[in-house]
Amino acid sequence: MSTILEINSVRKTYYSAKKELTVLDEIHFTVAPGETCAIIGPSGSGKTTLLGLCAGLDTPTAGTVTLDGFPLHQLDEDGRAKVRNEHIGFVFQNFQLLPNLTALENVMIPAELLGRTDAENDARLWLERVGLGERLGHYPVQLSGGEQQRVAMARAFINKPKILFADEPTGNLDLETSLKIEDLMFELNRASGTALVIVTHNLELASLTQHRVYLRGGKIVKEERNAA
Amino acid sequence: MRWILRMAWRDTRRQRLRLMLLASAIMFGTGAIVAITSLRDTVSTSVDEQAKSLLGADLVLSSRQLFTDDQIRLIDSVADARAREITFASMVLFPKTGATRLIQVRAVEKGFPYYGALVSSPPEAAEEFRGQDASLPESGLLTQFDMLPGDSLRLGYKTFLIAGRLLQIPGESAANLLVSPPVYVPYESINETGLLQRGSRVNYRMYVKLNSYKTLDSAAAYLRKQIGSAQLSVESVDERKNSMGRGFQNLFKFLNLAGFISLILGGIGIGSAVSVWIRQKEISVAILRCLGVSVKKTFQIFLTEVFGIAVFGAALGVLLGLSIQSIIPAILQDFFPVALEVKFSAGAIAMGVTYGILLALTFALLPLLRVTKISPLLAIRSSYETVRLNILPRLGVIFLMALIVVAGAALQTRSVLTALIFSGGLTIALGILFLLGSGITNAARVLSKRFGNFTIRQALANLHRPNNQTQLLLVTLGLSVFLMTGLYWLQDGLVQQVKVTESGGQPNLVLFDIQSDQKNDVEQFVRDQGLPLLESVPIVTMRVAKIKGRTLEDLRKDTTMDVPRWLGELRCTYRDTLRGTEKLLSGRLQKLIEGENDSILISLEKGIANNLGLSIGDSLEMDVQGVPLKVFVGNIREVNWRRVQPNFIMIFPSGVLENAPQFHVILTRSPDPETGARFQQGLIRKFPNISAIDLSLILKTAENLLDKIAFAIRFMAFFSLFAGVIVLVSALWNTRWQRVYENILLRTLGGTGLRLTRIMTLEFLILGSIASLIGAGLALTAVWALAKFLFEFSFEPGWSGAATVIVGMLMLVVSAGRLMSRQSFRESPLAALRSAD
Repeated sequence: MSTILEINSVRKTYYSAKKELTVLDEIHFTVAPGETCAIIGPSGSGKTTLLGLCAGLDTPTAGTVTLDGFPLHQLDEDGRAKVRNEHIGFVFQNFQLLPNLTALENVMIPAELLGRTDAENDARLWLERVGLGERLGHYPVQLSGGEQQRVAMARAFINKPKILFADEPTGNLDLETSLKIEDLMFELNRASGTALVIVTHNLELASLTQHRVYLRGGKIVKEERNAA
Repeated sequence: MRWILRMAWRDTRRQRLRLMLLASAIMFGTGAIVAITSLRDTVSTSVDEQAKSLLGADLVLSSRQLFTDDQIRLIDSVADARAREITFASMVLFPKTGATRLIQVRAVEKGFPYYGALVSSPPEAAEEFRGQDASLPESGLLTQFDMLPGDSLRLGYKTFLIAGRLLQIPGESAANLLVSPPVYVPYESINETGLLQRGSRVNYRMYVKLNSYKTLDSAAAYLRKQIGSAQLSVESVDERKNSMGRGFQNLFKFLNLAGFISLILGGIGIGSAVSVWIRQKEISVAILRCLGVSVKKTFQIFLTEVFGIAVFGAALGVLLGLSIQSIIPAILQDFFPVALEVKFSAGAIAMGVTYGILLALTFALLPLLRVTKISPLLAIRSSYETVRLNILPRLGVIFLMALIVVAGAALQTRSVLTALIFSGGLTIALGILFLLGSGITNAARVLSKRFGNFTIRQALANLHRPNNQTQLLLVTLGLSVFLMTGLYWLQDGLVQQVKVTESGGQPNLVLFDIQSDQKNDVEQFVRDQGLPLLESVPIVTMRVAKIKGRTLEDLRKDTTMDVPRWLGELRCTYRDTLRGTEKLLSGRLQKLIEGENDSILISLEKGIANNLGLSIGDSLEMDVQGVPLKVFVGNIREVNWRRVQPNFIMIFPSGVLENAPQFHVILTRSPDPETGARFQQGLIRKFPNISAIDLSLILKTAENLLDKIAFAIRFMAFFSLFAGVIVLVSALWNTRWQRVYENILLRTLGGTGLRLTRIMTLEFLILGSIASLIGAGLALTAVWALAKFLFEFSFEPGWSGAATVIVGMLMLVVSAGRLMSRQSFRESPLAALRSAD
């Protein structure tokens, strides 16, 4: 089976003056292209740390992280930034839109970074696709939580990433809005063939994915994959 | 690069008011630099353009004695034309009212000035007075005594018609004319006044217009070589220009440094605001990094924003500088001997803008470095480990900051040493303010836990709130108070020093040019007028011929010695005691010479003894108006020169000079100005050759001049204050939302508006009081040190002015704090909590 993400023997230890704290240890798993995967676990289990390592936001203390053939554990910060820009999309629990930019400008950024001349047109299309064609010039503070998350998703998909990482994407939303966002996310995943890695403690959301990794105390305690 | 610019522009949205506030921190410093440098350039250009009118001639020769025929023949060999002038101090009497005043008589030959013009009202008076028994008094003098052209004045035994008002003399500043206003009279009529008597303090000048084939330098060198001596000096227009330039440079150095302090304050403000701003932007930086923006690009975005702020602030500063540059010459015009026409100075603008931008960028660089260390992980985990900066880049930036400050100060003062002293002093002052600020923040942390009273506890707790910028506020406010109170105390101290003459039994009337045969009559006159005869001082004019066997000419060739020109004509006295203003440092005071063979032991002033390398027992040969006299240094004494009374470099024992040609000075005291005026009127009628200095008049003039200089300096200090206020408002703005949010939480929990007001007022009162006290304390120390070691006066701080500054500062801080927090009182807690979500 080909993989888009391969995590091998990953360990992450934080060092402080007085002690060292290992938050992840002996982590192995892979994600196939277009696959949907959930990383599930209670608070403090290391889910967010693992997401950060998978997405190249941080480097492991030991082990390897390979994304679409790029060895993220060996790249420097700018090298990882380039991979993030070209191959990865992000959706965050707190939406994390830039407050001083309009919805349109927020979506344009990844495309502009690639030097795409069609950044604005494409951003408009993506915002229309997520149902915000009328709110292009609005600032994040002028949008509801669900609208902000839809802007974030348009931003995540604009560069047609190979993989999208979502950190509790519905954690700050009400049930109805959550369901809409989940539908949109899976729809975009199917339409663009982007692999989806979701960090969540929402088992209902996790059940919608094809592959589930259960974390506890910094170790994988269970891994499930739906039958093909 | 376009994307960086676009992102920087986008990021400024919704915070442009705040960024403009930041920009204005740089504006005041830049404005001050532009205005002062522009004025400096204007003065320099004006002096160059009007160079020849500075002297009114190509060369001026000055002597204490009448020019001899031989000297005049030599002068004629290089001159196209020449005009003689006799100058001395004397009393003028206005017969119409009987009023008198000490003035400077200037008897000048036709022809002067060869360059520039005596400007008078009516204009023809400047020429008309020369041909008749007329005079041209300085305009202010006529105004003071309500005199008009057509009235008359008396000098000695001669009465002159007042031909007009003298408005301007080439190369002389208005300030120069205030202390002793000049009265021009024809050269030919001066002998008729009877004022030129033996021992009178007279200056003889010769204004020379050179032959066209003689260059200025060669003519000056030639005359200097042929006739120059201790008694006769030659000055060319270039030399006057240079010496004048040096004098102004000191004033400009001071004003420029004051402007530079504003700029540094602005830089500190920007640095601190950028620090808070970057902390608030951490999440945005992390998001950008998640989206794939490189460290370099992220840094460039924020650097571009700071650059934009700096450029905008500097541009505003240029506008401010250009608009105030016309005000400063108006304040200081009296001190310049040339007419100032302020012109647009590209150099000044370039300097202001360059330094404004450089300082803003340099001070912002340290907090901006933080951008390079913000992890993208922060976007998904707010409690990610703290950002740690590497020590090397930090040290590099600190070194750069120091370099820019020293280089800037060196450029402003044109002296590396002054720049290093300034930078060192500023670093110490800032260091003390920072350390005290840090100590106070920590003390607030400890104290806030000990107070039972909620209002006090909360106000103290606010002082150590993270990002509260307590230290920054203490530094900027403290520095502003330091400058304002320091300048106030220094000026006050200097004025008080002069005012000593007004108090107690100090003399306030000095009568001089009293001939020996007049002495008893004048003393009797003083007593008859009911005034006390405080002191009668004999003065003998002599010159130093040899020091330790070497002639003055020989000593002047020795570059290791500083031989003053006035040793060629020295005024000495004789007495057997020291005065209260004198202190014996070493040796013994010889009171009386009894035998002809006794060695004459003189008392020598400390400064001149050091300059000439003289110590007890060293010999000097004096020339007492043709009679050689060998003396020895008997003691060395310290003199308080600031006391306005006759002080002397050299004092002889009694029994040596009694029979030498001499004149006398008598000191007395008038209880009020009216008695003083009546006394002087009587004196001049009875003894026309005697002059009187009314010290209260001098004091008033000195105060006026000090006021003008102080105003200019305070004007510059206000720039620092404005910059400080901008930093204050900016710092409060930075923490505004946190403050508002906390207040709203307190209101939600039941805190009343009154209680919140009390907490906030108390917080700002504590902050303002501490900053003011530290600033005033530093000023007290600095002025005390200046008073003790530089100006040498006893410093007694006046508290009322300082209290005004401190109270003003407190009101300012509290008002600004209230203004910045008013939103927390206006919004409903529910609305605010919602927006905080």
